[in-house]
Amino acid sequence: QRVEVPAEVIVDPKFSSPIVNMTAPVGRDAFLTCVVQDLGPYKVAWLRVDTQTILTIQNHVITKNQRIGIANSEHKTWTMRIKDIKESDKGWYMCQINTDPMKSQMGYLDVVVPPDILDYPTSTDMVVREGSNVTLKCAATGSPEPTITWRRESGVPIELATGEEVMSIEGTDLVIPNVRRHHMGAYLCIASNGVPPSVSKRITLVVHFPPMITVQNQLIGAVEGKGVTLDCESEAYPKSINYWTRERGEIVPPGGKYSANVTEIGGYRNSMRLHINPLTQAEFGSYRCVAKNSLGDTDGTIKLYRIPPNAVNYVENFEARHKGKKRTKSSESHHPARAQEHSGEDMENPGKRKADLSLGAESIDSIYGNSAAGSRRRQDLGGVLLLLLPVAVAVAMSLATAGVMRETQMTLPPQTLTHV
Amino acid sequence: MRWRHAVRATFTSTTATESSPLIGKVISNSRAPQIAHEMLVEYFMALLVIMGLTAPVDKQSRRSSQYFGHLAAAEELSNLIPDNYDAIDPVFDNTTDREVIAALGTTARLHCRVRHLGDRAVSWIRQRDLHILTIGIMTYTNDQRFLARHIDNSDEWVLKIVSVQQRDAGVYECQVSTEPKISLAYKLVVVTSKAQILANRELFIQSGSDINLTCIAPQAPGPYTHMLWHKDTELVSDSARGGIRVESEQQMKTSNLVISRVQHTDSGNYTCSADNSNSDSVFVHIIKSEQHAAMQHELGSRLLLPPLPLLLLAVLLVVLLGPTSSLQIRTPLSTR
Repeated sequence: QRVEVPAEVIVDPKFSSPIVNMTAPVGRDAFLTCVVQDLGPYKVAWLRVDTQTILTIQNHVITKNQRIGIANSEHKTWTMRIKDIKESDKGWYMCQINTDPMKSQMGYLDVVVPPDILDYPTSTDMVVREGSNVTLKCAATGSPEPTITWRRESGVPIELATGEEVMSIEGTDLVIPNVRRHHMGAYLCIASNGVPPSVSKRITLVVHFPPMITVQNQLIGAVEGKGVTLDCESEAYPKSINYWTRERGEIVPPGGKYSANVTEIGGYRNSMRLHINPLTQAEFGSYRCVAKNSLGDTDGTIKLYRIPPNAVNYVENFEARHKGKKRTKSSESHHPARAQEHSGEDMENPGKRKADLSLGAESIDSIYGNSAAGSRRRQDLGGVLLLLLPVAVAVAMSLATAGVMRETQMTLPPQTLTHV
Repeated sequence: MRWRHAVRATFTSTTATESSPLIGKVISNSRAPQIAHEMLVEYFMALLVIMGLTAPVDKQSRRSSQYFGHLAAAEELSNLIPDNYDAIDPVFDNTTDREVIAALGTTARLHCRVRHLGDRAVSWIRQRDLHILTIGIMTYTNDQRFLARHIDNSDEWVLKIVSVQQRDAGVYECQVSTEPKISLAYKLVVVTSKAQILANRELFIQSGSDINLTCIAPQAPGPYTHMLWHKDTELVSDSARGGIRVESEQQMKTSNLVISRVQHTDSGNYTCSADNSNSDSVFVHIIKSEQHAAMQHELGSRLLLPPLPLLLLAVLLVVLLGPTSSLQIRTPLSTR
């Protein structure tokens, strides 16, 4: 017998081109396209390879994943769409034609995630003692894995352990051994992986150290009847209180012929100046500039001596000769000086000596407390401003509605009206 | 004296200066809380008024809604929940066989049971190449040997594989289209099973003798195997002629065929077949009676042979024993 050949000839379908891999950021839509030639009566399906999940068959979405969609153009271009993609959508996807044997090809969807800095184990603001070792840590997530770069704020270079200075350094850990006061400041940890936006975190490094005094001129001569200025420089953090004392430890009183001021030079440096005008016999002698903070105290000594009015030439020559001298004193050597001070006291009045010491302590504490109170006042003002804004808006709205109330002739409890 | 007086004056003025910041501090501490408190009270009162005024426009309902605001909120919440929300997730019935053994060329069935299916679809996938086989009752693959079977309103979705091939062995997945999907893996094992008759391919049996044929099918899949005997193309049964008996042990996968006092008509091709197995055959030839008589003659001649050797042995013994005894008697006398 002869079998009749059907008129229609079915051609085997094939893929016209490979699936183009796609890279998309998390949260956006992704598309994978499968181009088929001579599909005929066959069907096209999309699957997720690693989870072996059927996604679509022809125009039907099989999965209940609401983010999956399918579209085709003339049964040739079959585009699967994934909305609002997540990182878990990353992987291989298969386009399949139900020939026998079946044909398939795969495409890769890469999901990239912008960097995000983790709160842990990233370092927070640090307060350390000078001389200790510091490690600033920064950890970030993202896809691809982000690169961590450290910088200092305002273009200040970073000093490496080798002493070399660089503008930036890569790595999750920034190690600063034997931290010094000039390391103090804001450090920026910058995480980037090529997917915008890059993120950064600001970590403040505070270095605590006891006060240090530098005296440019330790011996100053002046003519009686004229004015003179004594000058000291101090370094300290936390910020120190600075004042002047005479030989016996009494604090130089502000006002009158004495005028003292403290000027901030840098982040932790201050300039102390004491003006004395006019000079009498009582003002000549030793002066001590003192700096004190929670970690210790130190002082510098300046000796003021009297020059006769008729020795002008000698005075100029003397100043030029001694100008280059410097004296630096640390807090460790302060106690021997104080001991010496005690030996100089008048032994006839022991009660008076105790009174002097206690009064000095009170005055120091009160001055220190004053600056603390100042900072508190600023915080209170900020809080009040925050409260003012919503209250003002509420009052304005209530006034507007009050007008509407009159038109509608509505009556409210008198207590409420009083408040409005 | 003058110096001492100057020192006292210094201390007094210092004390006066120090006390003034403390006074300022006290004032600032007491003032801020009061201001904040008053502002907060006014803020909340204003909020209450605004909330009351944003009630519905209707004058009558406006008053009542102020007192029954909670009820209105509850009604709004109930509208958000749709009535047809299907909260039950599909779940597999794990009692079905997850490993199926099929013989080459036979039909295999994989049974998948899913409860609370809802609007989800049940699909079968071949894990080897992720080939989709069936979705619901629709066959996706063009390999016509794969079919989906499902009875309406039942929980069972069956993948039927006709004429199982060796390449069909592997893992098949029953998948439900939830998000994320749930699935159950099934393993299909394909065996080549063949019945075997424990005898030569050709047997020559004397007419009138008995025939006992044993057939085994140890590799047949399943716990029980039904086995049959055919003579040429006809099923062997007792009704054909008396004296034929078939003894089968389905659990042992063994079958015995016994035919008593064979005749010439019993010659033929005997075939043993078992479920899901290839069959085996032997050909039995029945030898005529002349050959039978000749064999009897041979047996008779054999019976005559045994007596002769015995007689010879007896004669030899008599001859050997006589001379030996006489020699022994003479030897002792000569020595004396």
